[in-house]
Amino acid sequence: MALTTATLADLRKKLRARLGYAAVADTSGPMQDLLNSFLIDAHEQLAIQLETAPDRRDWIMPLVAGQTLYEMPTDDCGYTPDHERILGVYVQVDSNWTQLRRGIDPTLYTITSTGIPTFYDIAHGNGSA
Amino acid sequence: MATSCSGPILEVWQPPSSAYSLRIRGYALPQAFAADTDTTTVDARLVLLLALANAKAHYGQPDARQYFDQLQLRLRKMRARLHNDARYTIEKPWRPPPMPKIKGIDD
Repeated sequence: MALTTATLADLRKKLRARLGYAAVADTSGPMQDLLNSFLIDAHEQLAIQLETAPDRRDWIMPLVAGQTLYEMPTDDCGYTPDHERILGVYVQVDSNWTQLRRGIDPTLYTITSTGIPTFYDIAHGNGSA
Repeated sequence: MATSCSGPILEVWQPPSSAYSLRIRGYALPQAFAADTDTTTVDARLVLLLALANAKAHYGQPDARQYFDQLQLRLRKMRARLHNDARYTIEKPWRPPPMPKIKGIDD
């Protein structure tokens, strides 16, 4: 079953017609806001419920020597990884890919030398209190 | 570089000694769907069915239930097709447990 896409405006027009309000003009106002809310909520709900193959992607980004914190990348198609649904993180050394383990124990921060990353984690900032 | 107040951010350890490539595999965040020209990230037919079911329930139209049922059926079919031709097997072949020995007969 091929994935179909449509714009918010197209879906709103169909929704308006199926509800019996086809004769009502599509102008901004409470009716348009209401129909938009149904569509936007439905879109968010289904995005959580349904993990389809087209949503699964790879993002490849370069690391910077000495840097441990990175913003989540956005690819050329405008997609950003969902930090709650990461399947794996891998690092390439020469032409070999190895998987990083999730979870950085704070005791590891004792070692300050650089090397090949072996662990990763999703953080929300490492600021000082 | 990520700041200490930004989030969520990806942290790696050890600090890399060189500009290695990193691959993140996972699911994408849904793209924005707020402006009239934004397109759906999930199947548009599903979005319309769910929105229609909720809107009809909101207006008290009696056919709301039909649209929920259509949505559930379509969702089930889509999820089933995601498996493609995968076959799922148990690791070891199942064998029936050995028959218990009967004292006086099997010893």
